[in-house]
Amino acid sequence: MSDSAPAPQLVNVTIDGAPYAFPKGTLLVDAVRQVGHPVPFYCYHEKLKPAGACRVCMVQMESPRGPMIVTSCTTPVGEGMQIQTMSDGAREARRQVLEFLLINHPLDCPVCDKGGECDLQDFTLRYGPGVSRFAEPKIHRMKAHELGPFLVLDQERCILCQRCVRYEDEVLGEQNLVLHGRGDGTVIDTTRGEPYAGHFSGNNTELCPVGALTSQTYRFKARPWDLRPTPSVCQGCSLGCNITVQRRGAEIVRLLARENAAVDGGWLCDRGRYGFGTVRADARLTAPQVRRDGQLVATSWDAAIDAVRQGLTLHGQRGIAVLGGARLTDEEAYLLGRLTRAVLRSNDLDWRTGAQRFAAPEAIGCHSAQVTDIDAADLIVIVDTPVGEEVPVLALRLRRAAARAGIVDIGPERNLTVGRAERVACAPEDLAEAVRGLTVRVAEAKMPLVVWNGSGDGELARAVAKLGAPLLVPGEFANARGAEAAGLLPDLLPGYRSMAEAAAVSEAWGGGPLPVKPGRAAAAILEAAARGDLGALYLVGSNPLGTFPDGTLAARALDTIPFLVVQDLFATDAAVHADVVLPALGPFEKTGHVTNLAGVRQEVQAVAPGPAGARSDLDIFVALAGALGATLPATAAAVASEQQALGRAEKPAMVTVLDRFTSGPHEIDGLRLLVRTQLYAGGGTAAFDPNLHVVRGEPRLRIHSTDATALGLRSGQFVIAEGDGASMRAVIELDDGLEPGYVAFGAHTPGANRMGQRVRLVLAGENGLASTVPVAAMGVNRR
Amino acid sequence: MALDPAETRAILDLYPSPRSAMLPLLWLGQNSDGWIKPETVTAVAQLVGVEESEVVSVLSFYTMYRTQPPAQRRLQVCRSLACAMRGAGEILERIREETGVGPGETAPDGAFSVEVVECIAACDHAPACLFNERMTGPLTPNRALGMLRGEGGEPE
Amino acid sequence: MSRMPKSSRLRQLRGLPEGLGTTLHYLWRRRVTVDYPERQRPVAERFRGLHILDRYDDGLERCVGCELCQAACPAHCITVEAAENPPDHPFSPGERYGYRYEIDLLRCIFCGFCEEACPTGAIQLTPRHDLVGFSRQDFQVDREWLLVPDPRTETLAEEGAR
Repeated sequence: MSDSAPAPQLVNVTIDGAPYAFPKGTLLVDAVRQVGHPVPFYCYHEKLKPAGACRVCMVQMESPRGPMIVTSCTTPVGEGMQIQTMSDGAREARRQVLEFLLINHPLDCPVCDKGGECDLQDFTLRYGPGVSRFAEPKIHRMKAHELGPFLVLDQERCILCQRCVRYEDEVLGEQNLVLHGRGDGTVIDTTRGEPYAGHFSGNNTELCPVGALTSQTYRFKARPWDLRPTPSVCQGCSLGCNITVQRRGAEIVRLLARENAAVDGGWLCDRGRYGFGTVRADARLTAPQVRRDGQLVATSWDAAIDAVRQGLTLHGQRGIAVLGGARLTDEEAYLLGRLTRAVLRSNDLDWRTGAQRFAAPEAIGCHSAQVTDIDAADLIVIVDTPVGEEVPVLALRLRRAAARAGIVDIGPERNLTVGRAERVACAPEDLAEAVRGLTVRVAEAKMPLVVWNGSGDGELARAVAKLGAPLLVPGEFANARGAEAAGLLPDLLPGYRSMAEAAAVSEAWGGGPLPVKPGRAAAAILEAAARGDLGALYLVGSNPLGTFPDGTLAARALDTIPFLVVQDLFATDAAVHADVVLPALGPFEKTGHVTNLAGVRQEVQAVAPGPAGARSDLDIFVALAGALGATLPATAAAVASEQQALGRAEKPAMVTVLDRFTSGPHEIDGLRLLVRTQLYAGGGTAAFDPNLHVVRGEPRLRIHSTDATALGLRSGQFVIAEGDGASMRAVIELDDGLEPGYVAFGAHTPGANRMGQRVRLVLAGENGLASTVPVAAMGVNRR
Repeated sequence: MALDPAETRAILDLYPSPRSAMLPLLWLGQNSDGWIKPETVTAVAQLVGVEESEVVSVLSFYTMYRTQPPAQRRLQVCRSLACAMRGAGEILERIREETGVGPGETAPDGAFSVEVVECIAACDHAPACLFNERMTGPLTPNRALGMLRGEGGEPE
Repeated sequence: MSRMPKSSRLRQLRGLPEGLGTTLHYLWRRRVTVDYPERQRPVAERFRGLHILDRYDDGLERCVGCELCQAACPAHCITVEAAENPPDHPFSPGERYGYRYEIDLLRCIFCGFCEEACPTGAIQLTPRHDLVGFSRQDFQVDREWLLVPDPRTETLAEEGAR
């Protein structure tokens, strides 16, 4: 709050005999709780509008007509109010309401996942009657009703506080859950009994004050008193929502939101909340593998590290390149940079294995925005970024801002989660033009803000920079900003130093000479590899086959490269080409820091040991350096202090954004293929996470309903998409958020990046194998 | 299209806020189709500017809206105080015994349905009922069964 | 041994008939020992011995895996994990059953808190007290050991025997 804001008008209230003053408009329930008087409530929630549905927050208020019992959640404080929170009248009113709430509530507490942390249990113990006078049989309703992939509803336990219904309506604007029926027949359900389809269902399990809405993944896993909490940070996307990891023994059983107003606002998306299955996934790599006689065979760590040393020595003459690092911790990314430059003596280093070109707004000459700037902005420009799929929780904040601020949504796809926004539909190659068209409006706005995921060419980057507004870069990799600051770029040293400062960095790293000629960027590295001009490639937590926009090039590069080392959690399709595979530890298994899209550095905690044979990336770098005769700091803390001592450049250098990937031909007939981030489509951890399998499903091809109608396609139908370079099978999903004339695959969907720009759809046969019937009228000539 | 455009316009014009027209518009749809089709819900939601799910929720609150095609003969028995005391419960029980169709159910062949409703303001005729939306009473078990089987006894 | 005075030696001799007298006295008394383990002494009505996991009359397990016994146990000797009942052949009534139930009998202090905490009367302490085994492992008992026989299969087996 700024100092210039007028002081809020205070209202004098007497609570239980003591005088207090509260800002005008404060709800009684907040006032009473602030001064330390407990009041029970179910329907009230700080983030939702008051409803007055549960009637349990009663307090007694003096009025000219004598004492009145009022619901404190719907009554704002008034001048001279006299409130009794524990008068006989108020206590009796609560006792009666609780007795009513319990009439049809089943005595499920021993088998209920909420038992032990249930508000109904707690408040009944504190305020309720000891016995029920209700002798009649209870009403029975649906138990264990699967609402969706993650959510289970027990309609008997529901006390109809409507927190979930209001959350859906007010926070998501999706209305996935509604009330049906009336009286004692009222139940919560989806509108027509269809499965819950949204990215934020899990928040309902935390909102629900009783055991009605529970998580599928946590079902019967533990009781609250078994759980040990560890504060950590989600590494699912670049927002870095704060979480509490709860373990039973060594097993992670659930994640809860840990509110950080500056980052997440207390919400989690389902990907973040349920995406902890990688920790115990069967598919995890558990031993290093080395290629012998054409086969990858499991081996010891010493042998594997030695194989890497031999391979690098043998093929290093023709150049060594390193790709990846944007999924590591800050410390690991920094150490990877030091390993590459100081030990491998190469500047061919790039974290940008996807479409994202930069991570920090400063890197293209913009000001960095904070996440909370969204709340104050009056004009928000979203540049071709599917926020709801890329950084879902940020979309909720944008949605809240949309009620107040103007939002301009540019690009070929509409941000449905953001809600009310002004659309500027345009093709990817026209984005820069559209952005330039907003220059005057942005200049006139008091607090403009730009949201762009950084996937685009130099022209677009210049156009965005020219707007002069603070920028948020919700990119596709969780720790892209940390990797960039750690210098995982061909022409930047740690702390955004230019190559001219190599001497200073070299001194901090023990004095060895560093290569000073800027290295090659990801595309150039892959091109060199495909040409045969590169000796060895080291992929660290990256898979260009799935993520690199030109998948054909990536495939040729991995086919041709003489020596390939892959360091990952799973046997990705890149690992199949590898000469050495090093199993690494992943999220929840390492301690360190990650930097979110707004530059907030947050600590992540190791909460699970990970597979016995896997090692942390940091340990692997240290071992590798050791085999090559160099010593690196061996703990995350030591690395962090070295990085901190090195600091940032006084005048940060800029990232080169030149590569042109997204621009294509301007005149196209037929449907145009976009590769867009989709929450569960990724080929990385999402592909291997057993918790997420249920929502991942088949590769989906999204298409506007008018195009689908014109082509005679139905939702759920299987098609073969034939591109210039490849073809793949996918299921049709109608999505009117997409502009007509486009079809979209999820980014990182294996194969989607090898299709080229234009696609032809062919109906898939019965088993999805035959592909003989071309969809008629592919010439939807729209442009 | 179930909603007559002219009548729809007239209903919408009656209210200062379009939301208020939701119930009359649903009623209009039910009167022309006999029940409220999913298309009607979609149309009403668009007309009054709310989410479809809200219309579904409202629809489920009121018992007189039908979301299934109605049976040929519909018996709605009042179970409020006067009718209950004069034997509405026994009539419903008897119907269930004889035909196997309980309150809220429809005969397997779709010939008739039995529902329970709250007071229909015909306590002087208790136990009262609505047969195909027309009030009659006092009802006896045999008369109820006769009406359901289409053997006469219907209100004029 | 040093020489004793004559009087004390006589006193020692007096002990022999005294001792034989005691023997004769008890020879006609009722025996207090029993031929354990063939015969066993009855224990007090509320004696707390070895645990069982009880079933309902229809054979379903009483345990729903609520872990209240584990929470109540002052010796931390109980481990319970729950799982969802398979709908086609449930182990217990309702949605949930205790799929893992282990007691470390060496740590157990037989306080009976588990029995008191149990909402379904599943865990019970019986009068049995023959806590024997050849290794420490023998005292780590699991659900199968604890569960009483299923009355359904027992009856079937008896009928088959007849």
